[in-house]
Amino acid sequence: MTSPLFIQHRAPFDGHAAAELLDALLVSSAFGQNPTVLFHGDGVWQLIGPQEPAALGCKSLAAQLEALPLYDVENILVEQESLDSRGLSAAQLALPVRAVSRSELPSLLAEHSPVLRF
Amino acid sequence: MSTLHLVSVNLSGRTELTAQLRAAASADDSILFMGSGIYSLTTLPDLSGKLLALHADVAATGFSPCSAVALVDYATVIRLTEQHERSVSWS
Repeated sequence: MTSPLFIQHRAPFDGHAAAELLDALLVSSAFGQNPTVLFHGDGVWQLIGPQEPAALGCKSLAAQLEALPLYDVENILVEQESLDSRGLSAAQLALPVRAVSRSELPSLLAEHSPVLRF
Repeated sequence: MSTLHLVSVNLSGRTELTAQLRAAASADDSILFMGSGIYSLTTLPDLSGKLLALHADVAATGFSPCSAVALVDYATVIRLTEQHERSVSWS
């Protein structure tokens, strides 16, 4: 059985994409699907902390994402090129992630099904 | 195994998204342009894979995609989803 890949490309607090991704990851993990999540494009901004969005009536996304390993979501990837073009490095992120190159996208897609992009 | 890529936004001016799609698409993939995505087809995009556009969206807008792109109807879209192992939505 192939495992699902979730791709996040939206900045934090931009609609409901972040909440939908979290829900999808937790449900997928609860059903033992061993999901993988890739942050690319503006999605990498979700990984920057500390976030203090109380004024928006929201909770810190990075803090919620940090809890993913507690729910057995272990495969958290970030696209290196998306970090580079924003002047970010993996070390600056609020949670431990594995950096992958854009050129790895075809093999990443080939290893997973379904693929949901938020 | 091949992938069906669904493009529903105009790629013009979206250089990062275009680069990601270019990296992701392989020669045996299909790339279907629909909705505002059809406006990506003023010229032939530099993408590997079979380039397709949804006929209903092209007809509705009066836009003419470049001639190398095949127009497909909804029945063909459903067949495409059966023929590819997965689909990826680029928006």
